[in-house]
Amino acid sequence: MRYRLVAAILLFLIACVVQFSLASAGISIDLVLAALIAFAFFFSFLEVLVFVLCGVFLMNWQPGFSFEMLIFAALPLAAFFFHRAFAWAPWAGIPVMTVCGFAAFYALIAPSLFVIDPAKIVLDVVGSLIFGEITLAALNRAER
Amino acid sequence: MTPERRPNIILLGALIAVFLFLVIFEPSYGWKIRAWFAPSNVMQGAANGGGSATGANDILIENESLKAELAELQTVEAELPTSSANSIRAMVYSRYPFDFKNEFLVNAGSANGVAAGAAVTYGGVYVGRVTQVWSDYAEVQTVFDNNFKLAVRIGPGGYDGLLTGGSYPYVASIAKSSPVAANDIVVSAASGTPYALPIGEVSATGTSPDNLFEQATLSFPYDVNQIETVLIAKGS
Repeated sequence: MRYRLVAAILLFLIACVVQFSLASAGISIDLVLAALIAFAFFFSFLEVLVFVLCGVFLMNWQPGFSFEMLIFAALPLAAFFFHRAFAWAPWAGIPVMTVCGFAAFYALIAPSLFVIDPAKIVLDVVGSLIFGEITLAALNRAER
Repeated sequence: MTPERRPNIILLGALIAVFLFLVIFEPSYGWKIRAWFAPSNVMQGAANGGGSATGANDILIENESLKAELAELQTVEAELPTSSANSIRAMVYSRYPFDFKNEFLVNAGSANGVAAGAAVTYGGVYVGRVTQVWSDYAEVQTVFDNNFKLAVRIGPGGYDGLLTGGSYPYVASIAKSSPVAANDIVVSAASGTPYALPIGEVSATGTSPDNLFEQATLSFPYDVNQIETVLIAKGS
């Protein structure tokens, strides 16, 4: 049985529930993106792509094309190719790609937030790093 | 390629095709799933009622009175107009999921007469403007968006200012001689927006960083994350 895939699906659902619940209270932490970046270190390209498209389907808030969704989809895929190119161990690669990915996410979409409200970015990155580590631990324990 | 890998690739390919179809052609199912994931008032409920017997009783009493009020309203719900000559009622379908903007999507678009730039109100209070319109949907930028700006007037004296959006919206560019005070009402005063729509109240005043103007922070009578229906002014 593919316990790791089942664990990933559960982690993805948990990320969705927690992120959307926090968002309804005005707290924004991109746990879904953090989970997708972590998945890039454990699964094949097609498996990561399925998770990414599911994430885009749930996160997309409007019927048209948006730059935010393009970046949201590109970051986990970039993490996948980073992992393939440099073969970093997940315990090192996930935090690095999470921080770099989120920095790129904010820099490309809302660079003014670095000046206006850096605390928001810090909260998002720290929360996502913590969830990334939880995902790493869970996927390491689950056997393929 | 092993026989085991072929079904996996076929399955993954099918899933990719399904999700691509949903993303491109049926995004509304994603909004409904997201709304189901996110119950409203979850943090407020935990803060107000958790643990104590007194808190539980208060909640039960309030629940009973709300049930009665709901029953009364449901009898007239069918009689409420879905729109008036001057406005269109719309439901909030989904909210911008990240921290970069403060926007939401409503279920009324050009087919209903919504136009870009139209004022959006909640309980008679101005909450934002329409920025993008599709045939059946429209995107609304709220006053809590970092890029939001609107000319306003403050208090009985009608002193001019510029409402600047963000997590804590404030009114900037107020003349230093203006006697703006706490609890003064702030109303809309921009072209293309109905005049004197209430926006919020002044909570505190201060001097701008460059010391040339006054600034006023605002308080609002609603929580933008809890808005579920709005009225959109017809025309722009």
